[in-house]
Amino acid sequence: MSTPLNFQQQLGAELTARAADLATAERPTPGTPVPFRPRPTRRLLTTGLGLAATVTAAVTVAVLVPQADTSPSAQAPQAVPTATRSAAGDAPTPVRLSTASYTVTPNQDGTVSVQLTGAEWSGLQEALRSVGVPALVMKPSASCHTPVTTDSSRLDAVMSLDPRNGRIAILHPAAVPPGERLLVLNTAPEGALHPGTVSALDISLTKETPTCFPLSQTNVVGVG
Amino acid sequence: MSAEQQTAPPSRDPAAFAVFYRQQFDTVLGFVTRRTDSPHLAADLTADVFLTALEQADGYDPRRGTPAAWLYGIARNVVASHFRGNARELHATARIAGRRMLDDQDVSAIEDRIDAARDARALAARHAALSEPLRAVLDLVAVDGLTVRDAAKALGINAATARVRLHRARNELRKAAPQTGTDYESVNTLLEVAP
Repeated sequence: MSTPLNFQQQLGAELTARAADLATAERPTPGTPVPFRPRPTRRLLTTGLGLAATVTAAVTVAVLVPQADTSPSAQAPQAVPTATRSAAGDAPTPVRLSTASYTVTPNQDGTVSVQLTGAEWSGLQEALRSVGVPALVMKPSASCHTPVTTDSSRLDAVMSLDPRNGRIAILHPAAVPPGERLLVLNTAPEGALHPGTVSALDISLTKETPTCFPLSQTNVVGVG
Repeated sequence: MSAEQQTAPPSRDPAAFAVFYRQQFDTVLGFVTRRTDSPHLAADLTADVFLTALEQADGYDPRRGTPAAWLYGIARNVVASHFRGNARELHATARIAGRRMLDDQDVSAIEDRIDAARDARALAARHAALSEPLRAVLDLVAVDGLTVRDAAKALGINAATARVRLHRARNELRKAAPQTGTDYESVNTLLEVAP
Protein backbone atom coordinates (compact mmCIF):
# COMPACT_ATOMS: atom_id res chain seq x y z
CA MET A 1 0.00 0.00 0.00
CA SER A 2 1.47 3.33 -1.05
CA THR A 3 1.83 5.79 1.78
CA PRO A 4 2.21 9.53 1.25
CA LEU A 5 4.94 9.80 3.84
CA ASN A 6 5.59 13.52 3.57
CA PHE A 7 1.89 14.28 3.86
CA GLN A 8 1.52 11.87 6.75
CA GLN A 9 4.39 13.53 8.59
CA GLN A 10 3.27 17.09 7.95
CA LEU A 11 -0.32 16.44 8.87
CA GLY A 12 0.80 14.65 12.00
CA ALA A 13 2.95 17.61 13.00
CA GLU A 14 0.11 20.03 12.37
CA LEU A 15 -2.33 17.94 14.36
CA THR A 16 0.07 17.73 17.26
CA ALA A 17 0.39 21.49 17.18
CA ARG A 18 -3.38 21.85 17.05
CA ALA A 19 -3.70 19.53 20.01
CA ALA A 20 -1.34 21.78 21.91
CA ASP A 21 -3.38 24.80 20.83
CA LEU A 22 -6.53 23.19 22.11
CA ALA A 23 -4.94 22.49 25.44
CA THR A 24 -3.91 26.13 25.66
CA ALA A 25 -7.23 27.47 24.47
CA GLU A 26 -9.24 25.47 26.97
CA ARG A 27 -8.18 27.82 29.73
CA PRO A 28 -7.51 31.13 28.08
CA THR A 29 -6.91 34.32 29.91
CA PRO A 30 -9.89 36.52 29.11
CA GLY A 31 -9.05 38.76 26.20
CA THR A 32 -5.79 37.03 25.50
CA PRO A 33 -5.70 35.53 22.03
CA VAL A 34 -3.85 32.34 21.27
CA PRO A 35 -0.49 33.18 19.75
CA PHE A 36 -0.27 32.61 16.05
CA ARG A 37 2.61 30.32 15.27
CA PRO A 38 3.84 30.26 11.71
CA ARG A 39 4.70 26.80 10.50
CA PRO A 40 6.73 25.49 7.58
CA THR A 41 3.49 25.16 5.70
CA ARG A 42 1.50 28.32 5.73
CA ARG A 43 -0.97 28.43 8.54
CA LEU A 44 -4.41 28.51 7.10
CA LEU A 45 -7.44 30.02 8.55
CA THR A 46 -10.71 29.26 7.36
CA THR A 47 -13.97 29.63 6.74
CA GLY A 48 -16.49 28.04 8.65
CA LEU A 49 -19.44 28.65 10.81
CA GLY A 50 -21.64 31.48 9.86
CA LEU A 51 -22.12 34.73 11.47
CA ALA A 52 -25.40 33.66 12.97
CA ALA A 53 -23.67 31.58 15.57
CA THR A 54 -21.86 34.52 17.04
CA VAL A 55 -24.04 37.50 16.49
CA THR A 56 -26.49 38.37 19.16
CA ALA A 57 -28.76 41.35 19.07
CA ALA A 58 -27.54 43.71 16.44
CA VAL A 59 -29.00 46.70 14.72
CA THR A 60 -28.09 48.14 11.38
CA VAL A 61 -26.72 51.61 11.69
CA ALA A 62 -25.06 52.28 8.39
CA VAL A 63 -24.05 50.84 5.08
CA LEU A 64 -20.56 51.30 3.75
CA VAL A 65 -20.13 51.50 0.03
CA PRO A 66 -16.48 51.65 -0.96
CA GLN A 67 -15.93 54.34 -3.54
CA ALA A 68 -12.57 55.49 -4.78
CA ASP A 69 -9.94 52.84 -4.87
CA THR A 70 -7.83 51.78 -7.78
CA SER A 71 -6.49 48.65 -6.18
CA PRO A 72 -7.19 45.35 -7.89
CA SER A 73 -9.78 44.14 -5.49
CA ALA A 74 -11.69 47.36 -5.78
CA GLN A 75 -12.08 46.86 -9.49
CA ALA A 76 -14.29 43.86 -9.02
CA PRO A 77 -18.00 44.19 -8.39
CA GLN A 78 -18.37 45.12 -4.78
CA ALA A 79 -20.34 43.32 -2.18
CA VAL A 80 -21.72 45.82 0.26
CA PRO A 81 -20.60 45.27 3.81
CA THR A 82 -23.31 45.95 6.29
CA ALA A 83 -22.30 47.70 9.46
CA THR A 84 -23.94 46.56 12.63
CA ARG A 85 -23.51 47.62 16.19
CA SER A 86 -23.88 45.39 19.16
CA ALA A 87 -26.77 46.40 21.34
CA ALA A 88 -25.28 44.99 24.51
CA GLY A 89 -22.78 46.47 26.94
CA ASP A 90 -22.00 49.88 28.37
CA ALA A 91 -18.68 50.49 26.67
CA PRO A 92 -18.44 52.10 23.25
CA THR A 93 -19.72 49.50 20.90
CA PRO A 94 -17.70 48.32 17.93
CA VAL A 95 -19.09 48.45 14.43
CA ARG A 96 -19.16 45.18 12.65
CA LEU A 97 -18.84 45.03 8.86
CA SER A 98 -20.22 41.94 7.31
CA THR A 99 -21.33 40.32 4.10
CA ALA A 100 -22.35 36.77 3.43
CA SER A 101 -18.67 35.94 2.94
CA TYR A 102 -16.91 37.72 5.77
CA THR A 103 -17.29 39.61 8.99
CA VAL A 104 -14.89 42.28 10.17
CA THR A 105 -15.23 43.32 13.78
CA PRO A 106 -13.09 46.01 15.39
CA ASN A 107 -12.45 45.22 19.03
CA GLN A 108 -12.09 47.67 21.85
CA ASP A 109 -8.47 46.70 22.42
CA GLY A 110 -7.54 47.89 18.95
CA THR A 111 -7.50 44.49 17.35
CA VAL A 112 -9.77 43.46 14.52
CA SER A 113 -11.53 40.12 14.28
CA VAL A 114 -12.05 38.61 10.86
CA GLN A 115 -14.22 35.64 10.10
CA LEU A 116 -14.60 34.18 6.64
CA THR A 117 -17.74 32.39 5.64
CA GLY A 118 -17.59 32.47 1.86
CA ALA A 119 -15.44 33.07 -1.19
CA GLU A 120 -16.79 36.44 -2.32
CA TRP A 121 -14.26 38.81 -0.81
CA SER A 122 -15.01 41.98 -2.74
CA GLY A 123 -15.17 44.87 -0.33
CA LEU A 124 -13.06 43.06 2.26
CA GLN A 125 -10.05 45.25 1.59
CA GLU A 126 -12.03 48.41 2.14
CA ALA A 127 -13.72 46.95 5.18
CA LEU A 128 -10.36 46.15 6.73
CA ARG A 129 -8.90 49.54 5.88
CA SER A 130 -11.91 51.28 7.35
CA VAL A 131 -11.07 49.79 10.72
CA GLY A 132 -7.38 50.55 10.56
CA VAL A 133 -5.90 47.47 8.96
CA PRO A 134 -3.58 48.44 6.09
CA ALA A 135 -4.78 45.52 4.06
CA LEU A 136 -4.19 44.58 0.48
CA VAL A 137 -6.64 41.87 -0.50
CA MET A 138 -5.91 39.96 -3.67
CA LYS A 139 -6.67 36.82 -5.56
CA PRO A 140 -3.50 35.26 -7.00
CA SER A 141 -3.47 35.38 -10.78
CA ALA A 142 -1.92 32.99 -13.27
CA SER A 143 -1.36 35.88 -15.65
CA CYS A 144 0.61 37.85 -13.09
CA HIS A 145 4.35 37.34 -13.37
CA THR A 146 5.74 40.08 -11.19
CA PRO A 147 7.08 38.57 -7.98
CA VAL A 148 6.04 40.20 -4.75
CA THR A 149 8.42 40.27 -1.81
CA THR A 150 6.56 39.13 1.27
CA ASP A 151 7.55 38.53 4.85
CA SER A 152 5.86 35.95 7.05
CA SER A 153 8.40 36.04 9.88
CA ARG A 154 6.50 38.55 11.99
CA LEU A 155 3.02 37.19 11.56
CA ASP A 156 2.85 36.05 15.13
CA ALA A 157 2.72 39.70 16.18
CA VAL A 158 0.24 40.67 13.51
CA MET A 159 -2.24 37.84 13.69
CA SER A 160 -3.52 35.34 16.21
CA LEU A 161 -6.46 33.02 16.51
CA ASP A 162 -9.44 33.71 18.69
CA PRO A 163 -9.15 31.22 21.55
CA ARG A 164 -12.92 30.86 21.67
CA ASN A 165 -13.34 30.25 17.97
CA GLY A 166 -10.39 29.10 15.93
CA ARG A 167 -12.13 30.18 12.75
CA ILE A 168 -11.73 33.82 13.69
CA ALA A 169 -8.46 35.58 12.98
CA ILE A 170 -7.51 38.45 15.24
CA LEU A 171 -5.47 41.07 13.45
CA HIS A 172 -3.29 43.54 15.31
CA PRO A 173 -3.06 46.65 13.12
CA ALA A 174 -0.65 48.36 15.50
CA ALA A 175 1.85 45.57 14.93
CA VAL A 176 2.03 46.17 11.20
CA PRO A 177 5.30 48.04 10.64
CA PRO A 178 4.92 51.55 9.26
CA GLY A 179 4.86 51.59 5.50
CA GLU A 180 4.01 47.91 5.23
CA ARG A 181 0.78 46.32 4.21
CA LEU A 182 -0.97 43.21 5.30
CA LEU A 183 -1.24 41.12 2.17
CA VAL A 184 -4.35 38.97 2.35
CA LEU A 185 -4.59 36.38 -0.39
CA ASN A 186 -7.67 34.43 -1.33
CA THR A 187 -6.09 31.13 -2.30
CA ALA A 188 -9.26 29.13 -2.85
CA PRO A 189 -8.60 27.10 -5.99
CA GLU A 190 -10.42 28.15 -9.12
CA GLY A 191 -13.27 25.84 -9.87
CA ALA A 192 -13.46 24.44 -6.37
CA LEU A 193 -16.79 22.76 -5.85
CA HIS A 194 -17.38 24.68 -2.68
CA PRO A 195 -15.12 27.71 -2.79
CA GLY A 196 -16.79 29.28 0.17
CA THR A 197 -16.00 26.42 2.42
CA VAL A 198 -12.64 25.36 1.14
CA SER A 199 -11.13 28.75 0.54
CA ALA A 200 -8.12 29.69 2.54
CA LEU A 201 -6.69 32.85 3.92
CA ASP A 202 -3.02 33.42 3.24
CA ILE A 203 -1.54 36.34 5.10
CA SER A 204 1.86 37.97 4.92
CA LEU A 205 3.42 41.39 5.15
CA THR A 206 4.80 43.33 2.22
CA LYS A 207 6.50 46.66 1.72
CA GLU A 208 5.32 46.75 -1.87
CA THR A 209 2.06 47.83 -3.41
CA PRO A 210 1.60 45.20 -6.07
CA THR A 211 -1.12 45.44 -8.65
CA CYS A 212 -1.38 41.69 -8.82
CA PHE A 213 0.00 38.60 -7.13
CA PRO A 214 1.38 35.72 -9.19
CA LEU A 215 -0.31 32.39 -8.71
CA SER A 216 3.08 30.80 -9.25
CA GLN A 217 4.27 32.40 -6.05
CA THR A 218 1.69 30.57 -3.99
CA ASN A 219 1.56 26.89 -3.30
CA VAL A 220 -1.97 26.61 -4.57
CA VAL A 221 -2.41 23.29 -6.27
CA GLY A 222 -5.03 21.77 -8.47
CA VAL A 223 -8.73 21.79 -8.19
CA GLY A 224 -10.21 19.42 -5.74
CA MET B 1 -6.90 -1.61 9.48
CA SER B 2 -9.64 -3.62 11.04
CA ALA B 3 -12.02 -2.00 13.43
CA GLU B 4 -11.32 -4.92 15.72
CA GLN B 5 -7.65 -4.08 16.00
CA GLN B 6 -6.53 -2.73 19.32
CA THR B 7 -5.74 0.91 18.95
CA ALA B 8 -4.86 3.80 21.12
CA PRO B 9 -7.97 5.70 22.10
CA PRO B 10 -8.40 9.22 20.77
CA SER B 11 -7.18 11.87 23.14
CA ARG B 12 -6.61 15.59 23.09
CA ASP B 13 -3.24 15.06 24.65
CA PRO B 14 -0.78 15.87 21.87
CA ALA B 15 1.43 12.85 22.41
CA ALA B 16 -1.47 10.45 22.76
CA PHE B 17 -3.21 11.85 19.71
CA ALA B 18 -0.01 11.46 17.73
CA VAL B 19 -0.08 7.73 18.48
CA PHE B 20 -3.75 7.51 17.57
CA TYR B 21 -3.05 9.38 14.33
CA ARG B 22 -0.22 7.10 13.31
CA GLN B 23 -2.31 4.02 13.93
CA GLN B 24 -5.34 5.31 12.09
CA PHE B 25 -3.78 7.18 9.19
CA ASP B 26 -4.21 4.32 6.71
CA THR B 27 -7.77 3.76 7.88
CA VAL B 28 -8.80 7.31 7.18
CA LEU B 29 -6.88 7.73 3.94
CA GLY B 30 -8.34 4.46 2.73
CA PHE B 31 -11.82 5.62 3.63
CA VAL B 32 -11.55 8.84 1.68
CA THR B 33 -9.80 7.34 -1.36
CA ARG B 34 -12.70 4.94 -1.66
CA ARG B 35 -14.90 7.98 -2.10
CA THR B 36 -12.99 10.46 -4.20
CA ASP B 37 -10.69 10.24 -7.19
CA SER B 38 -8.94 13.50 -6.36
CA PRO B 39 -5.73 13.15 -4.36
CA HIS B 40 -6.00 16.77 -3.28
CA LEU B 41 -9.51 16.39 -1.99
CA ALA B 42 -8.48 13.15 -0.33
CA ALA B 43 -5.77 15.03 1.53
CA ASP B 44 -8.18 17.77 2.60
CA LEU B 45 -10.74 15.29 3.82
CA THR B 46 -8.13 13.24 5.65
CA ALA B 47 -7.04 16.38 7.45
CA ASP B 48 -10.66 17.25 8.22
CA VAL B 49 -11.37 13.83 9.65
CA PHE B 50 -8.42 13.91 12.00
CA LEU B 51 -9.00 17.50 13.01
CA THR B 52 -12.60 16.68 13.85
CA ALA B 53 -11.45 13.60 15.70
CA LEU B 54 -9.05 15.72 17.72
CA GLU B 55 -11.75 18.17 18.65
CA GLN B 56 -14.20 15.45 19.57
CA ALA B 57 -11.69 13.18 21.27
CA ASP B 58 -13.01 14.00 24.71
CA GLY B 59 -16.36 12.60 23.68
CA TYR B 60 -15.04 9.16 22.85
CA ASP B 61 -16.68 6.46 24.94
CA PRO B 62 -15.00 3.05 24.70
CA ARG B 63 -18.23 1.38 25.79
CA ARG B 64 -19.80 2.45 22.52
CA GLY B 65 -17.23 0.99 20.16
CA THR B 66 -13.61 0.75 19.22
CA PRO B 67 -11.58 3.82 18.37
CA ALA B 68 -11.65 2.72 14.73
CA ALA B 69 -15.43 2.41 14.68
CA TRP B 70 -15.68 5.83 16.32
CA LEU B 71 -13.33 7.24 13.71
CA TYR B 72 -15.31 5.66 10.88
CA GLY B 73 -18.35 7.47 12.17
CA ILE B 74 -16.50 10.78 12.07
CA ALA B 75 -15.04 10.06 8.65
CA ARG B 76 -18.45 9.25 7.28
CA ASN B 77 -19.91 12.49 8.63
CA VAL B 78 -17.06 14.58 7.31
CA VAL B 79 -17.16 13.06 3.84
CA ALA B 80 -20.94 13.11 3.65
CA SER B 81 -20.94 16.71 4.79
CA HIS B 82 -18.43 17.61 2.12
CA PHE B 83 -20.50 16.11 -0.65
CA ARG B 84 -23.59 17.83 0.68
CA GLY B 85 -21.79 21.08 0.21
CA ASN B 86 -21.36 22.16 3.78
CA ALA B 87 -17.96 20.72 4.26
CA ARG B 88 -15.76 22.00 6.97
CA GLU B 89 -18.63 23.42 8.85
CA LEU B 90 -18.56 20.65 11.35
CA HIS B 91 -16.73 21.43 14.51
CA ALA B 92 -13.15 21.50 13.41
CA THR B 93 -11.31 24.22 15.24
CA ALA B 94 -9.66 25.65 12.17
CA ARG B 95 -9.30 23.78 8.98
CA ILE B 96 -6.08 22.35 7.70
CA ALA B 97 -5.61 22.47 3.96
CA GLY B 98 -4.21 18.99 3.57
CA ARG B 99 -3.61 19.48 -0.13
CA ARG B 100 -0.95 22.02 0.61
CA MET B 101 1.08 19.41 2.41
CA LEU B 102 1.35 17.17 -0.60
CA ASP B 103 4.54 16.81 -2.56
CA ASP B 104 4.73 14.99 -5.87
CA GLN B 105 5.46 11.65 -4.26
CA ASP B 106 2.50 12.08 -1.93
CA VAL B 107 0.21 12.77 -4.85
CA SER B 108 1.53 9.71 -6.64
CA ALA B 109 1.06 7.54 -3.56
CA ILE B 110 -2.52 8.70 -3.05
CA GLU B 111 -3.25 8.23 -6.73
CA ASP B 112 -2.07 4.64 -6.36
CA ARG B 113 -4.58 4.17 -3.59
CA ILE B 114 -7.28 5.84 -5.62
CA ASP B 115 -6.57 3.50 -8.51
CA ALA B 116 -6.66 0.50 -6.21
CA ALA B 117 -9.98 1.63 -4.79
CA ARG B 118 -11.68 2.01 -8.16
CA ASP B 119 -13.95 -0.98 -7.61
CA ALA B 120 -14.91 0.23 -4.17
CA ARG B 121 -15.87 3.63 -5.55
CA ALA B 122 -17.94 1.95 -8.21
CA LEU B 123 -19.73 0.07 -5.46
CA ALA B 124 -20.32 3.25 -3.53
CA ALA B 125 -21.65 4.96 -6.64
CA ARG B 126 -24.15 2.17 -7.07
CA HIS B 127 -25.48 2.87 -3.62
CA ALA B 128 -26.36 6.45 -4.44
CA ALA B 129 -30.00 5.62 -5.12
CA LEU B 130 -30.50 4.22 -1.64
CA SER B 131 -31.84 6.25 1.21
CA GLU B 132 -29.13 7.59 3.49
CA PRO B 133 -29.76 5.21 6.42
CA LEU B 134 -29.55 2.18 4.16
CA ARG B 135 -26.62 3.52 2.23
CA ALA B 136 -24.68 4.34 5.34
CA VAL B 137 -24.74 0.77 6.58
CA LEU B 138 -24.12 -0.71 3.17
CA ASP B 139 -21.16 1.55 2.46
CA LEU B 140 -19.44 0.74 5.71
CA VAL B 141 -19.93 -2.99 5.22
CA ALA B 142 -19.55 -3.43 1.49
CA VAL B 143 -17.17 -0.60 0.65
CA ASP B 144 -15.12 -0.34 3.81
CA GLY B 145 -15.27 -3.93 4.95
CA LEU B 146 -16.52 -3.33 8.46
CA THR B 147 -18.47 -5.98 10.25
CA VAL B 148 -22.13 -5.21 10.75
CA ARG B 149 -21.42 -4.76 14.43
CA ASP B 150 -18.71 -2.18 13.83
CA ALA B 151 -20.75 -0.45 11.20
CA ALA B 152 -23.56 -0.19 13.70
CA LYS B 153 -21.23 1.32 16.27
CA ALA B 154 -19.85 3.78 13.74
CA LEU B 155 -23.39 4.89 12.98
CA GLY B 156 -24.59 4.89 16.57
CA ILE B 157 -27.27 2.28 15.99
CA ASN B 158 -27.66 -1.22 17.34
CA ALA B 159 -26.52 -4.24 15.40
CA ALA B 160 -30.03 -5.54 14.83
CA THR B 161 -31.06 -2.29 13.20
CA ALA B 162 -27.95 -2.39 11.06
CA ARG B 163 -28.75 -5.90 9.90
CA VAL B 164 -32.28 -4.92 9.00
CA ARG B 165 -31.04 -1.94 7.02
CA LEU B 166 -28.46 -4.05 5.29
CA HIS B 167 -31.12 -6.53 4.29
CA ARG B 168 -33.35 -3.77 2.98
CA ALA B 169 -30.47 -2.21 1.09
CA ARG B 170 -29.74 -5.48 -0.56
CA ASN B 171 -33.36 -5.94 -1.58
CA GLU B 172 -33.59 -2.44 -2.98
CA LEU B 173 -30.45 -2.90 -5.02
CA ARG B 174 -31.86 -6.10 -6.41
CA LYS B 175 -35.00 -4.28 -7.46
CA ALA B 176 -33.03 -1.41 -8.94
CA ALA B 177 -30.84 -3.45 -11.25
CA PRO B 178 -30.87 -6.85 -12.93
CA GLN B 179 -28.49 -9.43 -11.56
CA THR B 180 -26.53 -9.64 -14.76
CA GLY B 181 -23.95 -7.00 -14.14
CA THR B 182 -20.59 -7.70 -12.62
CA ASP B 183 -20.97 -4.75 -10.29
CA TYR B 184 -24.18 -6.08 -8.91
CA GLU B 185 -22.70 -9.50 -8.36
CA SER B 186 -19.79 -8.06 -6.49
CA VAL B 187 -22.12 -6.07 -4.29
CA ASN B 188 -24.18 -9.12 -3.67
CA THR B 189 -21.15 -11.19 -2.83
CA LEU B 190 -19.98 -8.66 -0.32
CA LEU B 191 -23.37 -8.57 1.29
CA GLU B 192 -23.57 -12.31 1.43
CA VAL B 193 -20.32 -12.60 3.30
CA ALA B 194 -20.92 -9.68 5.59
CA PRO B 195 -21.15 -11.04 9.14
